[in-house]
Amino acid sequence: MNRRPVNDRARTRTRTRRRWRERGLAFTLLLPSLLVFGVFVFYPFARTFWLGFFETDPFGGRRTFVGLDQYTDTLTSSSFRNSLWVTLKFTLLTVPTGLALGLGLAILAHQKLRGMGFYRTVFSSTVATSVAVASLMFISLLSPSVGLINQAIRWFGGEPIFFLQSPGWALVAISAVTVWQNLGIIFIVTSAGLQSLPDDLYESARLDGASAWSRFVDITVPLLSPTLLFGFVVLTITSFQTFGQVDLLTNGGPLEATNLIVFSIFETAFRDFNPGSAAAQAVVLFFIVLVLTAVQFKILERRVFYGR
Amino acid sequence: MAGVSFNGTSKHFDDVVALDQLDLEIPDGEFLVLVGPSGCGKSTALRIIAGLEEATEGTLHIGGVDVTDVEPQHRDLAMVFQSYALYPHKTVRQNIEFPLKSRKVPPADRRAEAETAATMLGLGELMDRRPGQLSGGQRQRVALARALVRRPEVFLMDEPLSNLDAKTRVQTRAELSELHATLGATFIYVTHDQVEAMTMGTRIAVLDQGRLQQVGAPDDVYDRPANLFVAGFIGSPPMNIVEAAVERIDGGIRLAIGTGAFDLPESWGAAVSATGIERVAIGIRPEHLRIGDGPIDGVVRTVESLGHERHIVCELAGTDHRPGDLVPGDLVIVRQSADDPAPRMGEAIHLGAEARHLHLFDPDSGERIDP
Ligand SMILES: Nc1ncnc2c1ncn2[C@@H]1O[C@H](COP(=O)(O)OP(=O)(O)O)[C@@H](O)[C@H]1O
Ligand SMILES: [Mg+2]
Repeated sequence: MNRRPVNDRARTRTRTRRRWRERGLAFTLLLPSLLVFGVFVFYPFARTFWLGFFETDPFGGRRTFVGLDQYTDTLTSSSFRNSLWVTLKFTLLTVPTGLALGLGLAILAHQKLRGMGFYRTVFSSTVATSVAVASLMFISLLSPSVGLINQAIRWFGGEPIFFLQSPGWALVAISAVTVWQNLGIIFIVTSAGLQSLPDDLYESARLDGASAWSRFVDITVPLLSPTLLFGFVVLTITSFQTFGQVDLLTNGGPLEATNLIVFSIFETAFRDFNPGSAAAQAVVLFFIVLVLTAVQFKILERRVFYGR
Repeated sequence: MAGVSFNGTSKHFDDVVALDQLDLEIPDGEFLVLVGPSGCGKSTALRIIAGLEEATEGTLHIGGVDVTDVEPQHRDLAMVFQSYALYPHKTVRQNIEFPLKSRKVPPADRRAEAETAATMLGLGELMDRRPGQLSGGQRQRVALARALVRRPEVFLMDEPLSNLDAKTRVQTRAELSELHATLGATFIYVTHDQVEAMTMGTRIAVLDQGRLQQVGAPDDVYDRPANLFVAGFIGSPPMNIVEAAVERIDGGIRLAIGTGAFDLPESWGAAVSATGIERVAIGIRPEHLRIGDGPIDGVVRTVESLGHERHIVCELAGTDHRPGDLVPGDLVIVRQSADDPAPRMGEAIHLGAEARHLHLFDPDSGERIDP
């Protein structure tokens, strides 16, 4: 009877030792990826954060510590605020449309019709298209003289629109390229989501007398909500990171109308040669995206049905 | 009031004939069980009634009206799916209310109707749970409640008990029969389980390979199977089928099985002669075979006790047409009460049966031969 506690203590000791051995093994296994992440993610990130506290020469050398000045300057500068505002408009223009169009196409392609495989390939193909190709396509599509859209406008007797040169239209044009480019991934993800919904739910709903619209609202949307949330978050993050289209189509112009945040950071760093201020903007962008994503998950997760 | 009738209804999936020229009248208020092995076309038949599948040929009438081209939502029926097809994101209450909501019933009425249906099925406590939080039996009840909340004329059920454990299944079987009596609606019930068919159906329709084999009251189908397929399918353990050579004897015929034979009166002789066949398939239900005195010789192979009864597998003497097999001769199962003395394994026995308990079939066409 007396020996039991001794036994217990001995057992606890072996257990603790085993746990430490397992931790050592876990760390050893994690080490390679930690190294890669450290060199390519954590270090540059910390470095950027740190750089935001310094004014530097164009190459990041000859630093002067300025504390939070650069951050406050960035946050209050009218150019940065404009970028933020433009990015916000851009997000509102691209995210809902991208999701709705991608889902719409996925639902169309989900019909059991002949030749659907071909359309699926076509709809998904924008995934395999680079920003450069997409931009080129839209340059020719939107061209005032030879573009298909302006030819159509002229054919109906209208005046050609200078999409990429007009402050009112440029952001819409950039958004159109972006929506087009995002269509593929949203189509693929929502298609996969639709395939996983059981047919008998829809059959049951038909027998229950549900209209096509009610089947969409009462069954498809709730059951697809995890996929839609995923798409929503991913599109939002992508829209805050958009750069290529702007660089290729408008250079942030006209009148800064398409000066999205990442483009503005790029300009600050490599045209105005001010790495310190660019770093400060980048850090601010990071926190905006972080907070936005957290908020999206918090708000939307309550309305998402994950099964069970 | 709504009966259902198939009129030469067929369904082809490319090369597969899932349903072949089905003619079947289901009167109003009947509990019809469609029974057959997996893949015989039961679900297809049910889905054609529901309107979820279009008939390739023929028509379907519900309540005397041709509904072949009518959309599912406009046929007054409800269906319980094998998977139950509950909406996983809706609560039990929302699931049950959904058919009413879709038909624009005002919320207050909806709630009351759903409560009534739920109470009928003992779901009162579970109204705010999601299907994922329910047991199989409870889900099955929710599916039933959702089906009956609208009081449709016709209920369709596709193997609704197949996902339940044995005990719940027996219990639910009785409850479904009761529900049918209470509602007085037409029930069309699909199963591969002949016990469910026998115990629940007012009539049963046996399907095989898309073809209707026999329709009738369960006892009629059991007592007079129309062909070899039905004979083998309905009943557990299944009917013993043994082939026998036909010999003419004075005042009748002799059916030789191994070293023994059944002698049958002239009425049978005429019937068998009329078909012109030289061999017949004899069917005898296990409970109709007696061990003791009888014209057939056999050896006991195994004895299985189920507590209340015994199944005795016997090999028939002189039927060893497959030399070298572990058990070379024809096997039959004898069903015996636990009160009877049990034979020993390897014991030589005699088997007998009353002539009125023999079923004769044409071994080639499988059709029943009656005296
Ligand atoms: N949608 C379909 N496409 C192709 N073949 C099908 C389809 N549905 C059923 N079948 C075929 O039709 C036959 C009958 O199927 P079913 O009615 O589901 O059988 P049961 O319900 O009796 O098991 C089977 O051979 C099955 O493979
Ligand atoms: Mg089936």
